[in-house]
Amino acid sequence: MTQTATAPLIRPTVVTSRGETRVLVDTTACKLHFIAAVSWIGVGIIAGLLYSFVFLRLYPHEGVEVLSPGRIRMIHTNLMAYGFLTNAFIGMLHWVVPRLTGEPVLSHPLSKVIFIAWNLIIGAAVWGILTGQAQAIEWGETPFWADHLVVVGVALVVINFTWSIIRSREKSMYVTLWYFTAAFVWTPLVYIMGNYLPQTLVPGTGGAALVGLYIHDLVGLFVTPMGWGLMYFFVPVISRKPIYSHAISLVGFWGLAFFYPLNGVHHFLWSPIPMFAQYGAVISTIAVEVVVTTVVINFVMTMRGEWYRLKETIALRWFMVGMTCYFITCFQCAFQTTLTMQKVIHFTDWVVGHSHLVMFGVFSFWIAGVIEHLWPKLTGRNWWSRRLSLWHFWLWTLGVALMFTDLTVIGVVQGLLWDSLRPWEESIRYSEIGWFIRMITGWMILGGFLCLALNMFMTFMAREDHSDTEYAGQFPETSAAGARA
Amino acid sequence: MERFNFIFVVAGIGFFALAFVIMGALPLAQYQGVDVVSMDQIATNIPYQFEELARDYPEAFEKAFGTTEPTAAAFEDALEIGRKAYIAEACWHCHTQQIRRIDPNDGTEVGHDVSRWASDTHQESQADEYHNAMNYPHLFGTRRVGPDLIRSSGRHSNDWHLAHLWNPRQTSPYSVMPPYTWFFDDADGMIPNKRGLGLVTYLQWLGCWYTQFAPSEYKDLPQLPVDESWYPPYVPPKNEPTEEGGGDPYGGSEEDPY
Ligand code: HEC
Repeated sequence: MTQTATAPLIRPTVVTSRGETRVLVDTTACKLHFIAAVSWIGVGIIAGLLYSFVFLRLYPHEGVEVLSPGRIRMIHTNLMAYGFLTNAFIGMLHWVVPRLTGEPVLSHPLSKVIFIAWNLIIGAAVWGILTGQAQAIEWGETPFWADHLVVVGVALVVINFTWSIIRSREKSMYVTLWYFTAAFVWTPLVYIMGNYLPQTLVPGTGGAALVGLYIHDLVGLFVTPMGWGLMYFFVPVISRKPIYSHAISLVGFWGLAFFYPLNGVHHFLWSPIPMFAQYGAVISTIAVEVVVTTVVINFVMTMRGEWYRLKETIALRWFMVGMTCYFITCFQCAFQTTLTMQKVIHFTDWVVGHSHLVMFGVFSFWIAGVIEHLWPKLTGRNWWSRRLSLWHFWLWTLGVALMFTDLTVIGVVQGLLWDSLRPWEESIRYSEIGWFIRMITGWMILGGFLCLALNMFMTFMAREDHSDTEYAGQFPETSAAGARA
Repeated sequence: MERFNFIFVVAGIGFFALAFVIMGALPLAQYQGVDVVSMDQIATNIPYQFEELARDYPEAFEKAFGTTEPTAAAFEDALEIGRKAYIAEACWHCHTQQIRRIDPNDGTEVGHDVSRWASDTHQESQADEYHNAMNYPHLFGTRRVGPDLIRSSGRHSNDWHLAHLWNPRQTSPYSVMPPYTWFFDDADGMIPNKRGLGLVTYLQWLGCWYTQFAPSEYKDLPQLPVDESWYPPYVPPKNEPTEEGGGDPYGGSEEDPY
């Protein structure tokens, strides 16, 4: 990376491949996306908490059409995917990609346009869902007209960042960029496949197979590569150690790329979808879990001798707890995907627990780690309160652990009660205690969110400003992502 | 292997396309040549409950569909509106629409899904049940808070459905289903609006393909006065679904089991 000596350190400039002198990292875009992400997760958490009241027959807005529980549920899931995760990932990409390539993104004004456009799209989608225009695609309930806008938005994001990767100064690509590159191809393909084909061309069972692919690919081909990409970047940077094994990185990446896309139909086991597809999905799901284990091993070995850092560095805690949750999820996957277990746990709260463990306990935790690490650098101020950061960490960690355990247990109870052919309402009555505990965990997660939001806000407003000193300006990242091949 | 182009082409496009072919296109190919049932074909078998709606709520029906007759056009209209409401309220996030045939582990031959919701036909969900114009996209669902609905036709009366939609706790005291008061025009939940009529039509249509209804049964029948003493008192048989939905092998759930 060429860096002019006179440039302020917080905004290092480079001479780009086209010979212009430009700022390398658009920190404003980073900051804006993180603020948007945290705002959306706040709304999303409140929506989730509200929905949990429905199950206790305590819903506060009964009879209000726009706040109908079903619509609130769709707001919850869609805001988490498109409001929180996507915004946070774009912010993270703005930080990581130029650093690994030495080349800024295509255009910084375009980054701002994307920021505004993306969040307007989400606002419009929320309005659409609340006014009853939802689309019946799980995790793609955004109204059909909003899908066209999303596709354009995703295309812009992809162009903006791929530019930087294509024009890279580096001789070879670091693992993080493998994952990002693949995700940049997959995400638009997945989105178009899932939202357009079953809606317009493919009815019924064939469409269900595609929707299964869509549900799973959104996790596996968009969120997961983004997540592992950021892990491969931040964990070595923070722990100041190169990644343990390049070979294992390769196995992990190519294993994921091959097996993950084949998984989708496991969302509809025992359904009228042809059995060969179901068996195939089961087998490749189990294969994915083996592959994933290699990645986890890679990180555990990287952290060897560095575990003491967890005491001081909260960001690293988020990454490691998230990774532990990831391992638990995947371990669980390998069993729950079997047809035998599906007889009992399919359709129950077990699945809800599983999805919260992975979307919240893993990816949201990793993003929390990124924010924990980057927010002081972006604002040029130390965290306002370490205690609040710790509260945030513990409330979320205990919250998700309790929620997962609770939902898993009542999932089994529900499944066995259905199987015993007892009257339906019995499964509801036995679940009540579990649903109550889930509500409590919702409050814990909301509490953790409030700690985060307050801490971010106070840090942002704080007097001290290190943005022009070496404190915030020295980023060891580009050299410390050491396992570059 | 770690080059941009290689990842872009092989992992990005190649592996995705491979999965799309195996997991998407091959299952699709199974339905090649099977025509998608159109709305007009669907409307050749109108469940009598729709005619009942027209008779019981003439004003609401006329306001909604512009006619007092349960015509095929009105039926198609009602189905589409009903399905739209079903999606808008995300009923499909609490109710599934697939009856799985799972291997026996409950002493029956077909698994508990079939015992519960298809004890009459003993038929798990078939692909062709979904191969129609009402399944863009399908509504299989992935979570079952309430019972499965793919065979809900005739399981309850229209009035039960309307009372249930107005306030589920009226019919099922422990229900966690939310009330849907905006499917009604008045303050007491007596007059359903277009969405309410449509939703009930939709629920009564789901699964009615196992029954053939004579065209306009109700129009030609003289309205006979009902004499209750004609009918023997109804004794719910064991092992059959009760009004509340589930079959109860332990015999009757009249008394509160808790
Ligand atoms: C929060 C989850 C939830 C939502 C949302 C929901 N339901 Fe339900 N539903 C239930 C539960 C639980 C039951 C079982 C208890 C009862 O009969 O109310 C049920 C029962 C039913 C039944 C009776 C089924 C039977 O076999 O007895 C029908 C019909 C029904 N719901 C239709 C709908 C429709 C239509 C919607 C959308 C407008 C809807 N439900 C939304 C939870 C839900």
